[in-house]
Amino acid sequence: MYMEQITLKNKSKIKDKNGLTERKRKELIFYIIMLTFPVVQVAIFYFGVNFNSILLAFKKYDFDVQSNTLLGYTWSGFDNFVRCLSDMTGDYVFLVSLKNSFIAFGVQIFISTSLALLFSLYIYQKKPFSTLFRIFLFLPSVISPLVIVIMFKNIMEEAIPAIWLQLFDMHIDPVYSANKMICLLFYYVWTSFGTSVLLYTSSMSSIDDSIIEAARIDGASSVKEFIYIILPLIYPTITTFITVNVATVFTNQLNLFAFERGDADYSIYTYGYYLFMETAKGGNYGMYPYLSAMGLILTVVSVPVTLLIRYGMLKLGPSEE
Amino acid sequence: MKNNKVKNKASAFYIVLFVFLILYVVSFVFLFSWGFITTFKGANTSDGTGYEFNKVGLPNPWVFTNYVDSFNKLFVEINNQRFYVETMYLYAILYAVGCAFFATLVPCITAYVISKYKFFFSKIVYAFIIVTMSLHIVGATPSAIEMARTFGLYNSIWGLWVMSATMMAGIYFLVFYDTFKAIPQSYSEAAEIDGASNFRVMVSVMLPLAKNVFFTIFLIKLIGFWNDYQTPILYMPDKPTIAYGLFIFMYQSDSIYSSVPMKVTSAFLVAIPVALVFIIFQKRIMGNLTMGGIKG
Repeated sequence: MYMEQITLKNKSKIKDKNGLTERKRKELIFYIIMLTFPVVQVAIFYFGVNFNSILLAFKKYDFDVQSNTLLGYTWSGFDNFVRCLSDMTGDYVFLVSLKNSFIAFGVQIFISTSLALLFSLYIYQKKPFSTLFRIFLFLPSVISPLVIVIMFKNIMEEAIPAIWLQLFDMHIDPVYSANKMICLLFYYVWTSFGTSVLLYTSSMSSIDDSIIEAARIDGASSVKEFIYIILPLIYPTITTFITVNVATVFTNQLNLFAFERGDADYSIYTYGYYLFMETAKGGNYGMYPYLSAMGLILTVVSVPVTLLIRYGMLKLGPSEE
Repeated sequence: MKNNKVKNKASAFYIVLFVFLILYVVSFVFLFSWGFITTFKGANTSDGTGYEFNKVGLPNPWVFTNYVDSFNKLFVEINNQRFYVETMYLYAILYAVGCAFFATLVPCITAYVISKYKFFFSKIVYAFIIVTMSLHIVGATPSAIEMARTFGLYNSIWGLWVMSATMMAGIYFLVFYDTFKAIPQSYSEAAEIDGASNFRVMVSVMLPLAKNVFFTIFLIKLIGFWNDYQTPILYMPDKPTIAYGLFIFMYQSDSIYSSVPMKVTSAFLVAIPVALVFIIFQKRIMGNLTMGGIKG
């Protein structure tokens, strides 16, 4: 009996031929089972999709005119890339898309981010009506963009000219139709605060109160407190947001699909809108290789830039010390 | 004197911010008020009443049938098949709840497993998720649609459940990871001493400790999926959710039910359920989900 007890006690410490104890073996089995689905899902829908996208960029969709049948994808070498590069550097649609994509990015970085930080500061300092402002800033993240677009567009097109006529007895053009890009950029900023304000205020709330108090005792104004204490301490959060914005510069649709469906004027195109709109067209398989090639070119440009900006911001930005 | 100057500058600074924020609130109050009163206007133009003659004032007369008409008579037609509002609501509930559940569960379990079990693969998974948060592959959607077709996931709600059940949940993965990392190891050790298996420890001890975070992230994702109209357009074109239906309806112009009051009413049909969810769970949804910026 005594020998049996010793054997049982030592059994848990006995390693198998792989050097694993029984406990470790059970943990490994559990670990593998729990990660099987997530890993397979990522293998197919991240690696598989991106690998397939690369392959698709080297193909074309063949259609036999005589027999009126779809033949499927066949290899076409670098034809799609040549066509893309030619279009992207010479075609009006793509030059305008590039310009508008960067305008949207600039507006997001310089206007939205700045305002979001200032509004977050107001809420973090628990100034009057902070709770009310926090709810309204988050509201566009809760309500569907389609819902807000329907009302926004009709107010711009019809309600504002009607109000102007009643107040000033003067006709004005429908505001959205006459100033599409400005309205789109305004809408973009107007509805952009939700998640960023939430996360900036959370980040500010995690700052040690003693640091703020010490600064106040030293006579620091609210503005100096914001610039020299708060911003450096929430800098990693700001870096993350800016990095994500850089990464998505070519996928930003500027809500165009909601405003215009597939009928937007070329002058307000962005790359994000063009790529989505062409993909969403039913039965547009012939364009898939071209769109994949374009996506690859844009990825090759945006990924290193994103990593460089992130590296630069972390290297050159303020440290917590 | 200097202190007063500093105080005055700070007050002016916050007063300016206050004015901006008040204007922001007023703009949204105006937007929703205009929308709400428009839903009580008729589309009738033959008798001089209705929206076309009164675009900003209070309704005259008040029309109370728009919401009922929206529910009973609004439809969208896809491939010669008509989908009414109740069908679109059903698709929306199945899509939003299912996708939100799996999109929350999978990153939750992944975060738990890699935070608690010190195998080398955990570091690879963590690094992969962090890196891909910053990397955005452009133009892979056509390929994703092809993959969905290949695996029989295209045009099905359960297919979208599978496609949304990814561990690559960005900041939400980090929130789960930090949550499980903060739970002391003694909790699981105590359960193991009592004979609990690894699965039992996860289900009976660890997941309940993270249930508040789980529910918060589930709610945020539920709202996102409910409002999402682009994913159903791409991957489930024959099963319109209410948001997808609203998108189609926005651009219809060939019936009495495509007037501005009816379009705004149908917009409110999409907005009301999430507004109710937000009102009930507002504190939880807007609570402190800490992410902590990623360093290095």
